[in-house]
Amino acid sequence: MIAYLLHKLPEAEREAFEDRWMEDSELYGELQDAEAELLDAYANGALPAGDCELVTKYLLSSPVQERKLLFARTLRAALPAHVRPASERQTRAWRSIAAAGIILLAIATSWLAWQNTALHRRLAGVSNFARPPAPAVYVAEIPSGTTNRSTTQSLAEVRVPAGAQMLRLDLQLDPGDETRVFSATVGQEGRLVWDEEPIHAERRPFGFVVPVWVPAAVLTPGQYQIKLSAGGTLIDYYRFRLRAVR
Amino acid sequence: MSDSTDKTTGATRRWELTREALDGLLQTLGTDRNAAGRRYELLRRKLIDLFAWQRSETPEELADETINRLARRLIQGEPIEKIESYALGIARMLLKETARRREQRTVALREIQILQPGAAEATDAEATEMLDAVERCLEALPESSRTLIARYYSGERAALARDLGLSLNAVRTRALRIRRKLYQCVTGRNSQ
Repeated sequence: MIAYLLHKLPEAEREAFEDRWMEDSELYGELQDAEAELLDAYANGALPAGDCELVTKYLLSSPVQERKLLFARTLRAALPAHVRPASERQTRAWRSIAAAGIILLAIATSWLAWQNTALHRRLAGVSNFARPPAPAVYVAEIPSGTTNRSTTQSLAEVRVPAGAQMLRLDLQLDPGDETRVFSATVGQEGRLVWDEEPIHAERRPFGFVVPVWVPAAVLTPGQYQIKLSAGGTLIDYYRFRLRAVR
Repeated sequence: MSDSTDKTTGATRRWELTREALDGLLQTLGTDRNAAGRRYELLRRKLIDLFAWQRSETPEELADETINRLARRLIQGEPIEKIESYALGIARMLLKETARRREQRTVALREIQILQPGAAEATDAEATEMLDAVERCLEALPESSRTLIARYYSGERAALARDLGLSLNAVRTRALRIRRKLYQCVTGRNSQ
């Protein structure tokens, strides 16, 4: 089941397993349990690095899945650190009552202070890791439709989330350009904001892109133009609009 | 029944699930309305998970579109013996359609998950809401269930199994059942 969830199964086996659990509700329940345990382990930092990456890639692509992870993390934070068996709790309770005369007030005061601190700590702990490890890098694909070569130009919209420290702009390349060595300048209203070289094209599922890394700190909302060149020759311009950071 | 074309704009209007079509689907799922409703919800849940596990960014929308298409086939008189299998077939077609659309999209925003200690992204409001919901749902559990799940997640699994006189696997099954109930409570799906 883990192999299915982490896309480690060959395609034919994957489809065959899907056929089974769609028909078999008990098997579906077991699959949900397997997912829950995976997310619990992920939330606890208990997964090997390879599986951690696969969980991030395959199980956290939507708000529905992020909510499952948030639940996993919150449940861990909300449960008491240690719960004693009932019989032991009763024995300790009697002992506390016997000593209560002197220390009761101190205990009550400390307990109230601890509750307050614990609640704040739990809340801070949950919000600190309430989502998957935060996207320090945010990726935007700038399509070739925004370039001068396109017959119908459009403006790519980019929204960088709060907390992202780097923006990686993937500039889509036309087939045939991928072997060149590139340089890129990022400008806003004629002002140079960032430049980078040398850059090599990278393969993506849909084709090749030129990745341009820009620190989020140098960017402000507005319209940008990226000039992509290779060996001194202009390849193309790419345009995007950066919306206010959310 | 088919998608209609707007005579002014030429745009195709997608077929929407009508009351009649929904009734037809529920009747196919079962003669008892309540049981049919539960089966419908389970089917929808399975489809949402199917799409989510296939990296869809909008699994709920795709699940609803799958059910729309399923209901439409039924109301058009198509004989369907195994509803869940048929729905899976529709879902797989939808996955191919969305994969093609994703390649043609004009803007794509993806996140690279780079582990950085201390970096936070979820809002405090979301975290608070979830914590409130989890605590409320934990309180609603019987004490024995609350104790079991607390001890299970604190790492006392072997001791817990000994105390309950159960195998580790049986303890795991119970803990996961409680966890599932908690999640249903938190997400407001208590009836399932």
